[in-house]
Amino acid sequence: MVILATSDNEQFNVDKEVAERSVLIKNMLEGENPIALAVAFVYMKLNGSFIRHEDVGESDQSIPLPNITSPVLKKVLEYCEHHRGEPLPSGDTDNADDVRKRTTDISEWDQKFITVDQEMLFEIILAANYLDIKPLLDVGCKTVANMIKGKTPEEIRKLFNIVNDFTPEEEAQIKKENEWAEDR
Amino acid sequence: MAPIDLNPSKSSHKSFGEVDETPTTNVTETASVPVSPGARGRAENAEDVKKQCIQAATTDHLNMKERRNMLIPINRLPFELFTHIILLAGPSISLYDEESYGSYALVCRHWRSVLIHSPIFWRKIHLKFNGETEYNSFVQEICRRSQLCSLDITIRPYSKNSPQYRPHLEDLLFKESHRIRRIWVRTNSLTHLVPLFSNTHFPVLKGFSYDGGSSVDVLPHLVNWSRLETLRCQLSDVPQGAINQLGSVLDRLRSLELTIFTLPLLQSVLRILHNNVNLQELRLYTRIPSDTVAVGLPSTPTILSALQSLSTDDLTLLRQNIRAPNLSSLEVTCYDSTFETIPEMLSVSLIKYLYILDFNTIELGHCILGSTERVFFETSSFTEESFFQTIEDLSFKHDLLYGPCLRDCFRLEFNSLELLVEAIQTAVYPILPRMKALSEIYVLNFGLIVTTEYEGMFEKLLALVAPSVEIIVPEYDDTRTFMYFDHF
Repeated sequence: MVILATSDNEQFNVDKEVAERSVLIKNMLEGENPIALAVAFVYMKLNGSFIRHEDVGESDQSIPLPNITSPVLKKVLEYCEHHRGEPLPSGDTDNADDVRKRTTDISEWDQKFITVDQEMLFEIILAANYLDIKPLLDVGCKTVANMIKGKTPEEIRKLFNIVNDFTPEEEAQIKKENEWAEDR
Repeated sequence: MAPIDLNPSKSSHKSFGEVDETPTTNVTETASVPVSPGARGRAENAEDVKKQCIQAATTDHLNMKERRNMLIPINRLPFELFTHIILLAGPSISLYDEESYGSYALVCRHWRSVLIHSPIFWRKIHLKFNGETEYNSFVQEICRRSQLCSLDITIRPYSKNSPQYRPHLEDLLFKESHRIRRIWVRTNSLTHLVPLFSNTHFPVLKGFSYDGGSSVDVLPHLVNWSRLETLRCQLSDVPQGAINQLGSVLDRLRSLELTIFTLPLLQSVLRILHNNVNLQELRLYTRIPSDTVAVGLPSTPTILSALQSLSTDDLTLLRQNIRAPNLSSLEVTCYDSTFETIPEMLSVSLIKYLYILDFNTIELGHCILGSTERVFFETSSFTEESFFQTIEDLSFKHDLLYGPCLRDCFRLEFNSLELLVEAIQTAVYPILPRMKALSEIYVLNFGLIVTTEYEGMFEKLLALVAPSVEIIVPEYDDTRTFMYFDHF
């Protein structure tokens, strides 16, 4: 078991296999991420406890996740638990065209899982990015992309509650610029 | 023209602090009559101050909005994640219904700033010569934003009355030649570009498309672009020798689209195919009279083992000369009832996407389209069962009688409401257990029937197909009004 400590001081006991869906945690447990170790070291020292290299991952030591709150970690762990045992993705990077082709490719369970309010959705994305859980990051990014897809700027503003902060002159200027990047 | 401001959030708006430095003036003085020159001067000064105050207030208000926007969850994402999401979303819909990443820049200052600093969004440049005086500065700006990214250049038609833009075009192609990846010429003539094409080295050019008339001018120069992976043009009035020369030079083609006008040219094109066995996509359209006797074509067929997509209007000539064992997408236009021989002749064993447009009659196993009584595939080298198990996407224009052969379909596309209603009445669910979406239903004269059958149709769908269907998207009517019915 691995103990994960959130920013709001909650601790989660997690199966090592589940926790290792996170490349960050996996590397920490294997002692291959000196930066993450250093962060954990500083964090724990500030909290009055000490951590040794060989302590990380042991059952009586928690891994601090200072960027993640407990509700978000709970959701992330739910995802990791569901996808436990599945092969981890390779590190291949996609080019722009490949990325776009797979936009709507979200499994049914993942779709239901990611049906959360916007605040939580973006927190999950940030957590997946921090913890380096690529499949979860993909699900989050694709969900947001699907929300944006096909919408006009005004519709996007409405969707995310963004206000128009351009002056009319700036808006006109941008429209004019866009003409040179559009096929019309 | 003034340079484009790249950092709108720090644009030339003045802050309240700056305005405060302006000497204050008593505005009430402007009401005095008669107005002396001194008083007029003070009044104008007061007016200026007033304007500055309004501008400053407006600026301050906009800055507050900008700061508020930065607190919104999506705007708190790191730069690279935000960029990734926009790439996933693809080009947006602009005010003019045209696709462009640029219109995302209209959402807010933050989005604009992210887009401007992401070169990948600026790699496509559409050169239009429609009298805009700012041409050069805008194009230079986009080139600058694209940084070191490879460029896709589209050259749009321009008037002969605008010769002043030619130097700009030539200058751009020359300056950026080292990173131009694709050129798409949509002008009527290439003649004026020939000197440039013949004298300029395009080391990374991989794609060339020409939508205009004859490509006779530029084609000989393509032999210098041996790295081409995509070639698309018409071969009218082109000497056969030029095509033969191309065939001997181009051997990296992945995608080829040609329109051929004579049988000898087809012979030459077949030689090109012979040298490009790694071709993945072939779109070949012929304007050869149908009564032409196919003499002189190679007797040994070319095996295009990498070919995945074939689109053509006449397979009669091709089927003798091409074998495509791994073809997964076949699109045939203007075909007749001899279709049954084609997959076999092409040695196709696996087709995933089948598009048959404008055919007369065709029968697919137990699934009858049209009024034919023949079963075309039963005697072929692949059984109907194995053939249809691979099909996931079918497009129909004719009457349809559903059969078990369609059980693996995920998506059906109809082009008339009658067909859709028929689909409902046939109770498709038992034979389409995997269908999740009935999408892109193109309904002609949509506006005329929307108030009557249309609503009832969805109720029927709900009753008959709903166990698996989640989304129905009637695509558009004549007025291009989109309607979405999500998760009813």
